[in-house]
Amino acid sequence: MKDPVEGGWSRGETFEEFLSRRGVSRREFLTFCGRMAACFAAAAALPGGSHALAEEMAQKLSGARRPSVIYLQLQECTGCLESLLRSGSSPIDRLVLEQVSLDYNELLMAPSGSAAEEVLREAAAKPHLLLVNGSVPLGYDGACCTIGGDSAANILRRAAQKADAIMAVGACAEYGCVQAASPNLTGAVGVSDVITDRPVVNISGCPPIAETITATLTYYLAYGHPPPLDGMGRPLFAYGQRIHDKCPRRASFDAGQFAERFDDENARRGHCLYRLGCKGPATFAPCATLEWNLGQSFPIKAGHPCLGCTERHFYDRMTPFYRRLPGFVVPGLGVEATANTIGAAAVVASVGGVMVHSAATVIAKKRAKKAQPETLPLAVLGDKEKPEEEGDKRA
Amino acid sequence: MSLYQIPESEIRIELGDPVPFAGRKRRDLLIAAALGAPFGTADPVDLALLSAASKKEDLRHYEQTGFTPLEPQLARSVARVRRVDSGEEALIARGEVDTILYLCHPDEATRYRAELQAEMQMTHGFRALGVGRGSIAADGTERWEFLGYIPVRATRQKSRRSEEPRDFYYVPVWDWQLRVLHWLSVLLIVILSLTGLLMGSSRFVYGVTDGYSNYLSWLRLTHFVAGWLLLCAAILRIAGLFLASNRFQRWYALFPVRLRDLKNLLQVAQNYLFCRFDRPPHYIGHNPLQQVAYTAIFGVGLLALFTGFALYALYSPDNWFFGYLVRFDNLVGVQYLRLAHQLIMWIFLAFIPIHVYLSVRADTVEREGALSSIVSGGRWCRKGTRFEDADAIDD
Repeated sequence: MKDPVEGGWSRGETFEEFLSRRGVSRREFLTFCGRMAACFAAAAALPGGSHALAEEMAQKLSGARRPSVIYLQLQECTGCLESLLRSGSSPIDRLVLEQVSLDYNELLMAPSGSAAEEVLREAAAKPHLLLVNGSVPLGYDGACCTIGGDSAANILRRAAQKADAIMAVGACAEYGCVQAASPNLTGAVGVSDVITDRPVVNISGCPPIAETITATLTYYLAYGHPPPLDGMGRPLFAYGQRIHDKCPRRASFDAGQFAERFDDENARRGHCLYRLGCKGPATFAPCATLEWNLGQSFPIKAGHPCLGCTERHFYDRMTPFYRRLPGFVVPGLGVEATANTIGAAAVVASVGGVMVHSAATVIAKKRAKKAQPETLPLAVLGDKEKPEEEGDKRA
Repeated sequence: MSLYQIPESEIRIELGDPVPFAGRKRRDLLIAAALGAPFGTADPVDLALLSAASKKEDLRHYEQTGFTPLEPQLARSVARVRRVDSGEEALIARGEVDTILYLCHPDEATRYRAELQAEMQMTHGFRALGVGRGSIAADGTERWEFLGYIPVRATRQKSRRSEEPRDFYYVPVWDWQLRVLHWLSVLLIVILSLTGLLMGSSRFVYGVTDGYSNYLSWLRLTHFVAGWLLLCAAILRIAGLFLASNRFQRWYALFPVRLRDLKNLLQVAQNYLFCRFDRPPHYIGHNPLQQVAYTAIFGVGLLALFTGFALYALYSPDNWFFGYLVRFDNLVGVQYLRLAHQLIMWIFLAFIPIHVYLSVRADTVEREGALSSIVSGGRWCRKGTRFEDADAIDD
């Protein structure tokens, strides 16, 4: 394919017209649609197979009109956008990106200063698609993240007013990610906590796989509505699959072969990283199927345990990252005890308690026996009720 | 020897073998000792003698015509007895052996032997009740003859069922369904704990699996099947709470909340902690402390099932039912759920030694067969014991 010539996807032009003008062949377009369809079908398991889906999508996508997109970057690290830029796995992706680009985006746009503000105002006044990176800090009246003198929350609300759809890209935009982890000093929240009256598509991950972002966009462009979502507002096609179930190391998990350290023999053999704290069994993401950076690899394949970054509050809940279970600090000892240590201690304490108690029972019985005379006073022998007297009598 | 003090009313009299002298028979000695009791006596020794003698001869053949009670100086009581059919009268004296010997003036050898033997009895915890028989000559003179002595012991020690089987009656307590569920749950909890530990640590699996195997898969399968079976057991038990006709198994038996129960709970706790040594209240079913512990362990079991199935649900979040559990996972965090699930297992493992110990202790200290009731379904109750929950039992 030739390098893209100048001239973006102009308004009024269909996507197909635009693509052919840009020198994309029908075959390349269908290949892209097929890949996206395969991506959607991965979890949705739609009937008819991905081929029919690809046809349908090609049909719909061909007729799509160029959307205006505002891509906000709030309290975040730009990692998500970095990831999205690496979606260049095929020219089509690049084109989609170029075209879905971007009336406004802090990182990639040419204008700056009041010119940039002007662009945002104009774009927000028209129907558009809103993508958000980064969390919204609500603490200190939003002073922790301001752009052009206004707080992130205000910018988001304004941009969302006329948006056709809102997509929260990345864990920050979903719920706040690292900055929302305990103790959450800036009061960071996700987009859906600020925009409560509209559905928000959460494209989860820290960062999300680029293809997940483009696929969601593609779906929206093709169908005009967001894809089916799971309970956390994440597109099911991507987040309906558990990493553990499609993991290339699953066989060694089933066989009970685990790497104990990063440098042991089993690690070199590529055995399961479960004992090294892999959170794959608790993480729903397409990493194991799509993989990262043009399908090159993903953490588990590369020998690093999954951190579970697509799950909510993973900094609070998936830590310690390199341990299978959270431990807790025993007060006073300063030792991090695991559940098993505490449990075993409880069992030892219970067995010890039983032993002490049975010993005490034996002692108490002995004492009771000693305290009690061998025979009680007998009235028929003239004894009084008091045992001392009986003792005297006997003597 | 009981650890707990037995109330006055529960005095236990043991009669040794009667030791007759002067060629008498044991039978005669026993009858004479019984006839020496005052008419209408309430003394436990007298009652024991009468009951033993009544098995040898119909005591209605005799009539008491006079009784001189025991005086401190003389230390002997004398009864005047007439045989109804022949009209023959006799005097019967009872008291310490030396007193009776003094009265009877037997020959030196008899005297020596009787005194020595009576002393010997005392080293075994028995005391000797000497019996003398006086015949009245026509001129009114009395001729006394030493009949022998009966070893007597009075204790507050409980008898065992093997010693006095007729002191006990059998009460069916637990239906076979409940016992089956109990032992099934024991088996399942052991299996679940074992497989859970193996899966969690993978330490024991290690080295077993050189090359390909499905070791962990089998562990997981076992764990899941056992989990489902435990769920079935729990459902049956809960259904039984409302359907069982056995009142010890119905739902209200789980909650000992009446004021009397709470007082008894406190007392049982104090007894267990060696704070008091009076006898704890008797229950045919569970005592309140026991019941509170068992109700709590039921709750812990349900929690184990709930957390377990919440983790299990991750394999199929689309399922309409598991979907709710996955929502719960997201609420708490999967890793913390795992932690809770594991800690719950340790609660069970710590509970088991205490549970077994207290059951065995109840059997050995109280000797009422509470332990065997979970095997055979019933227990032996001592006659005359007042049970707090016995209102529906007729004995």
